[in-house]
Amino acid sequence: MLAVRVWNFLKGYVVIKVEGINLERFINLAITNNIYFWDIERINYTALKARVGLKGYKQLRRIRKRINCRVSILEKRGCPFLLHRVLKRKTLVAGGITAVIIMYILTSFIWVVEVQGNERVPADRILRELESYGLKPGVFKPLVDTREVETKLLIEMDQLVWVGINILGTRAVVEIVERTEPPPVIDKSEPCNIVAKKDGIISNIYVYQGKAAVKSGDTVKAGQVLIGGIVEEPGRPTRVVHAMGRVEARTWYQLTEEQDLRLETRERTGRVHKNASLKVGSYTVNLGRRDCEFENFDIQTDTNRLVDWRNITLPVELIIEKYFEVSVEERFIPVEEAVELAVEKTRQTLSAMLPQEVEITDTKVKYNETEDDRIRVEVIFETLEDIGMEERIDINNRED
Amino acid sequence: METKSEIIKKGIADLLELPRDIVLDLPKITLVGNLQLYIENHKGIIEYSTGLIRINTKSGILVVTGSDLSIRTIVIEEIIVVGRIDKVEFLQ
Repeated sequence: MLAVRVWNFLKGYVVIKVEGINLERFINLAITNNIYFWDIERINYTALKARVGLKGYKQLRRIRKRINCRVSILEKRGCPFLLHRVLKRKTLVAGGITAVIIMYILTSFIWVVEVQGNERVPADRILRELESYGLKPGVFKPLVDTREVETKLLIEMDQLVWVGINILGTRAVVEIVERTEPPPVIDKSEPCNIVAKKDGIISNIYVYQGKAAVKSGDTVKAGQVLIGGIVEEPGRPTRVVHAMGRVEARTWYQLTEEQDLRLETRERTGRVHKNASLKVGSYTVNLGRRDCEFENFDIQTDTNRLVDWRNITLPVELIIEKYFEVSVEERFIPVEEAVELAVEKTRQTLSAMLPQEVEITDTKVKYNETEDDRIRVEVIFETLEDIGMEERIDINNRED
Repeated sequence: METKSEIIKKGIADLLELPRDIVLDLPKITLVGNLQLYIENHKGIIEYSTGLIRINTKSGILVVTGSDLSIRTIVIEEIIVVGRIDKVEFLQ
């Protein structure tokens, strides 16, 4: 009934008063002429009130001639009349149209420029560069060629590897990826020392140029000079050189890992329960009738958009959830197996931390069981790596 | 009163279990509590006031009495009467 009412409102209708004798005949004649009446109310013996659509009202004229009765309009309701009334107020209409036009014009400008993804390069600098290519707040959108600005910015700024500009509404989002710069290489002509990157015990030291400051077997601390660039030999003038060499040292890494002794294996039994729900905006309507009755299950959620054409998306989503029943089996693993698992995990973490050429020479494992079926494993890796790092010698500030 | 063709129609309707309201052109009347009366297949309205409505049908004149009666909808096939309905009867 609501749909009918809304329809009638949209089409527009009039409330009429019919006066005369033998109004029943009037009604019968009207319906045989396919005029649709509704909400007929008797006022008194000679009058009744009814509602009739606009088209029906025009057709009533013919009947009125045949029956001696008077039809008068009490009220005009519905969209056509409302529209007519609103349209009469010309300034209001003009105001509304102007507002829409202004809104449209304002949305075709860029008002905010955002920089995302920068860590070392200051956003101000990027914004300044962008401004010089025409991308700045207040610029007319069609005038900005994002591809061109991207290319120009990439060429201009060496620190960037990738630039992506997306215009979202009145916002221009500039995503950048910075170049990860290689460690500064000191020019061969400049004097430098080789110092230790980290603590360790020297196992091999090969000096190509300069003077070894440590020998194999020495314990060194981070920052300590390994190969000196200042070569002082008795009877000769002191030389300052660019030290070169390779210093291999044994280093240690300690990692701890906890491991459950209880392992869960999940296996799908093949039984599936499906549940569909409709999401409109932030409201979710559940279309399924019964709840999932599985004790253990994995959920897989598929979201289907109603329309996915260009960038237009309606806020209506059909969500289908699939519940896969799983049988969960618990088993206890022996401590040795658990330790092995933990060591493997720490090995993976370590290899993610270290450069590839580092060699693991020894592994020491300690573990203790904690109360709740877990073990705590402590692994010490001994590795062999090059710990040398060039460090510039500032000749002018040197004391001696 | 019944013509020969009507007797035959009735027999066919019984035989084939067809709904009688369609075959015999009879009114179908649905009453919702005492609030709403729904009449399909009527033959026009005879009298209408807030206390009494008389409607012509194939089975005779349907008399509805009550108070605050109004006609919600009226088209060639059906009438919906709302209000407080006290009595629905057929007059031959």
